[in-house]
Amino acid sequence: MSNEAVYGIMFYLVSAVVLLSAVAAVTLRNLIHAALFLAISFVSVAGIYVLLHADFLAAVQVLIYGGAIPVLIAFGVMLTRTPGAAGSNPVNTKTYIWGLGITGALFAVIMLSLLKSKFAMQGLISKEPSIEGLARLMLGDFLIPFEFAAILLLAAMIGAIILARGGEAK
Amino acid sequence: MNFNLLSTEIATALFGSVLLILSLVTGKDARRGLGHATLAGLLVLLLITFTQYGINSGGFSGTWILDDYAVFMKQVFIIAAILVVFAGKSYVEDFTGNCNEFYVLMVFALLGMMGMASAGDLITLYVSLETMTISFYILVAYNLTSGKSAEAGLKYLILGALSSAVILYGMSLVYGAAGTTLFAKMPPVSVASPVLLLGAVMLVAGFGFKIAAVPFHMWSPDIYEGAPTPVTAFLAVASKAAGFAAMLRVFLGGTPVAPDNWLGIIAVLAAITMIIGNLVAIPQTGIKRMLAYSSIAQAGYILVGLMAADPAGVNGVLFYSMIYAVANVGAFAVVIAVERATGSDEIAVFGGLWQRQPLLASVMTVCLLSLAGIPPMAGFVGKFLLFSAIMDQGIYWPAFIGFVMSMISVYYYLRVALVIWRDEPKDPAPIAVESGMRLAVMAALAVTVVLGVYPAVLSDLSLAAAKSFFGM
Amino acid sequence: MTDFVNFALYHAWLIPALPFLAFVLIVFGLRRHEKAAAATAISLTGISFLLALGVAGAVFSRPELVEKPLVYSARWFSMAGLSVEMGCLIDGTSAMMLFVVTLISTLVMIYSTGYMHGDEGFTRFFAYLSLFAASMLGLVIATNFLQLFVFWELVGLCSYLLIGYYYYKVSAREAAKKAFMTTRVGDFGLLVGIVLIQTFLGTMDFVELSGKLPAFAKEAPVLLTTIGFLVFIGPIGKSGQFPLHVWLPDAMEGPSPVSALIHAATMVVAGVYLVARAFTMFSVAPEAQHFVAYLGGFTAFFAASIALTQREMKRILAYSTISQLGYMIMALGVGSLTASMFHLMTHAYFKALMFLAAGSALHALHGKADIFEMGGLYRKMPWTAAFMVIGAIAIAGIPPFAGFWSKDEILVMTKLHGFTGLYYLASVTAFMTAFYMFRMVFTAFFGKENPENHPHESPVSMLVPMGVLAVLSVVGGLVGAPFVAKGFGYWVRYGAYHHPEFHADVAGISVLLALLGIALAWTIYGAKKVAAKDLAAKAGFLYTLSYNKYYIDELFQWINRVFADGTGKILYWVDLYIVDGIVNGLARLTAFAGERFRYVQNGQVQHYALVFFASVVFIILLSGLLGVTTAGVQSGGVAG
Repeated sequence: MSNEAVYGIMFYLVSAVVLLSAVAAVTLRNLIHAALFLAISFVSVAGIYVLLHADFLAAVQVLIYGGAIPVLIAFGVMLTRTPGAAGSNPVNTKTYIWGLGITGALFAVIMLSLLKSKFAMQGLISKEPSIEGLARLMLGDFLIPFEFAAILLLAAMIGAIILARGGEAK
Repeated sequence: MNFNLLSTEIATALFGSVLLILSLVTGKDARRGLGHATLAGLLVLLLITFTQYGINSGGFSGTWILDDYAVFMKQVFIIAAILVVFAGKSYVEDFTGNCNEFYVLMVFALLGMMGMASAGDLITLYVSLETMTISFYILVAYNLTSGKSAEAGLKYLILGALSSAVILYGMSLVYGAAGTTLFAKMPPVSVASPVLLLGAVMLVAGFGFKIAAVPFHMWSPDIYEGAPTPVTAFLAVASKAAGFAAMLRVFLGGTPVAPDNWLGIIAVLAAITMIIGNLVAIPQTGIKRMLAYSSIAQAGYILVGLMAADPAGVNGVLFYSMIYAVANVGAFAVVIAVERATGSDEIAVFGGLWQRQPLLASVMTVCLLSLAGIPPMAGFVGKFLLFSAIMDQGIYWPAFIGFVMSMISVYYYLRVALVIWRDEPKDPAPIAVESGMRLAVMAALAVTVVLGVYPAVLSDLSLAAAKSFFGM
Repeated sequence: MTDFVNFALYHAWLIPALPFLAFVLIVFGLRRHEKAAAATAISLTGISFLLALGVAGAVFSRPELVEKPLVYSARWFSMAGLSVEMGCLIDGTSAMMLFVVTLISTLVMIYSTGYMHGDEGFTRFFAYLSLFAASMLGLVIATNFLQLFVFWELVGLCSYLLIGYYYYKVSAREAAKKAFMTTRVGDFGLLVGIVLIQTFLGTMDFVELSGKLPAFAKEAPVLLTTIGFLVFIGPIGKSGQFPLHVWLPDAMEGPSPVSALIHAATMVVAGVYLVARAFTMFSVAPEAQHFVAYLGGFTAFFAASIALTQREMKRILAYSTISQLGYMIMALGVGSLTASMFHLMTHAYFKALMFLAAGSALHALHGKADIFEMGGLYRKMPWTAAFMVIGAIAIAGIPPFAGFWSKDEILVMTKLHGFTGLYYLASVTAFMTAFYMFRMVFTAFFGKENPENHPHESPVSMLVPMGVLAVLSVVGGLVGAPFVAKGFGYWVRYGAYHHPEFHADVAGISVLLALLGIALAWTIYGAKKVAAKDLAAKAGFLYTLSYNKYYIDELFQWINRVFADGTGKILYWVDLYIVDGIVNGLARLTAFAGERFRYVQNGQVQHYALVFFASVVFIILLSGLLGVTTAGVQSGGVAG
């Protein structure tokens, strides 16, 4: 088996896991289960990063999306004590049909245009650790978005605190 | 690195942080002071922007562009913010206990908008867009004791995240096809591919959401109605202008797809936005919903300028954004005052307003007439610039739809004016107008009338800005 | 003296600026000082009148201005490829208009001090009047179409405020709304026409246009005719031509001085003036010009036929205005700027006089409007009755009163230029005019007194302005009489000067018809030899049609209800229930689901998302349809 073939098989395997667990996360009625599958999906994305030789990204993905975020979601589910999604998320068959139809159409359109286009390969994949290049980009070329992201996170944090603190009577 | 390119943004970020610290160390009694501090800071920012005219250069590996166009747009945002703070100060202070961070979030949203106007690449654009949007999620839900505000916030969060996802996906497609995120290095027309087109359409959809263009407008009436009114004003004006600022950068600055290719899409969007927005505004009975549909329609007019895709068109967009901002904030300011006095936002409560508060009545009338595009208000000149830009290119039908729809819009704008001047007030008690509000509405009134009579003051500036956009 | 004349000529912009200054002063400083407000308005408008006299003097001393107008302007705003200016254009026509408008405005203001005495909104009224006069004067001196349009809209806006002045009256509110809406229809056509002029001719300046138009007419005659029609829609709305005349009779809901101002000097004549300003265009677009002529002639006849049966004094006067405006428009259509402007001027004198006299009568009768409830007013109000009779003689066209000369000029021109049909129609209209005017005079001012009425003569402040206008109504037409060398037609004209000739046949027939009309009115309403009721019964269907104004109003109401309101409602419904909530939209009707529930949990957000994505797919498919994917698109990403 050539290297290419192994790579291809691995890519489709990992992608299948990403997609199937994402579907499970959306459709399962038990919220804890759903959160678990979401975590699986996130971690599998790290697998794709590994295949792309993006080692640093893969590590961060596992740390944050495999560790921190699922824990946060689990806490959220437990603290709000609604283990079942049945009550808050009623199933509506008609909506399902519409949703499926439109999603299918969108998928078809995207696939069609993807297949009709050729992409220029830039040969960016390197065997070196990617962390140095990332650092260079973030603090060099993309310094401004990097700084903006800091403000963005600050704003999000303030917002979370405000909303969590809730309203007080006048 | 030339930090002068960033001086407005650095000042804004610092200002936001200082406000945040101030809001933490001051007690509840000092709220009023915080509002004043915000105003002072915003005015300083406005002054700083004036030093930025004429720089016209880019930097930071092309991710940042500071041309007169960007400066002009930033001034639109800052002026909108100033007017909103003037008009909404007391409203904000009436909120639940923690009104302090309100101003902080507003400044951060402002920073995001500035980034959108100056972004030179897709990543900077996206991050700035998110900075603005996330601040708005919280601002919309800010009236924490009101269920309506909370659900508007939640709705905006879900739908906004959706549109952001679409924008992001569109951006990745564009990047995938073009191999670069820099607008300046986007490939020429001849090598456009279906993927690039797909990405461009998704960007149109995502920005269409931000500017509330039909058919991506559905969120706006609900959110405008539910959000605290000053936030609604800011959202309807500054966020929309920022959406346009970014849209112009993406589609005219980089042109991922050839103009004659996507112009058709923009044209269709503009047409249905003008038609649906204006017609659906007619039967509304709530003023905020009516203004929501009206601002949808206004987005349609501005899209016509985008369609022209030349300096005249950009000039129209810039000029119209400014006067739309002033007139719309003026109208919302009156809504804020009346809502505070009557507790309702039905059009009917404006009955006999001129007897209760002639100033508010005049401002409302003038602002609505400007939005309707009746001379000598500034709105007329703005529409004139927009429509003649497209007609100069030999394309008449969008201008024609614009004319017809402007005529129809007079109907619902005038209905409010009629209620104000003709109906007897249910409660003849005068409405008090505090000094900040008075300043805001008088400024809106003066600008709308003066720019209508002597628009050269602004149109010279916007023309220079439009030329700088095309590197002329 | 020459100093003043020159000053006036080069500072003509002061003429609109001064009344505007009065408006600003009253609004911002004199709101609570009635006397000061009235004095400010009158004195500043009076100074404008003096300046207008100066401008007229300047034109007399420099006859070359008639051919080559004096233009000075400042840049207003500019955009890529277009610079728009605002300034003053002085020639014979605009000098005449400045004179008429400032004169009538000043007189109306003086009259109003008496008429509006004791009214709550006294100062507000003078502020509006000043603004109204200022906008009309700004329109008169406009150098280009866009400046004209801005003031045109301002005039419309002021009329809206003034017609709806008695805001507590439902009819006044409705009338104001109707005036604004109807004229908007006209403005729309005008605006489209103006933009097309800019697009195809590259300028909106009147002087530049007159240079470019003849060549353009040869290149693109169809386009020019289209533009001509579009521009003419504006005057149809503003000058109350058929079928947009419906607002004008209702506009009498405003105070009488306002009616006088609207009907005589401002607002309605703006349309006529616009056609006169655009005369270069119409003179090279014959189809459009003929349309103008026939529509004017028809409106003159049509409105006169309605006036025959109306019962309210001001309504009769309003329809007579429409009819007279039809004459002016017709004169422009047959190609005589002079005749039209001449009639505009004399009409301003006698129509203002009649409205002020009507106001005086209504004032005395506390608003009783039906002429058949009046009667014998001349005993208690001799001056008012005399003024009204003078006005009626003038409008009927009895020599040597003002109306005779101008109407004669129009009739002569119509006949000479080969519009024989229109000439007959106009002559019949002249007969009807004499009849309905004297029907009103005999019924209201003569005959038996109605014992319920206790009229009294109006104060001097009201009588003096009427006196001035009465004198002008008698002698004001002599300036254009055929026996005057270098008369009106020399100063206000387009093209070469033609000395008006006296056509005994035309003049004789029109005077005869007018006398016949008066005699008939006397027989029926003065001597009561024929009962009016029997006549109405015999005319039956025609009477009903005329009395109900041919049901045009009802037709418009129906159109408005069905189209404007209906379409909006349908689309809102579609937006709400079809697009917005494809599935659960009806749940919104059952409102008691609770606020939160309703918004978040019945799935609306999902629906919005659904629509969002559906739209994305739709746009992608659409862009395929628009040929986006095929044109200029190749497979392959980045080159190289």
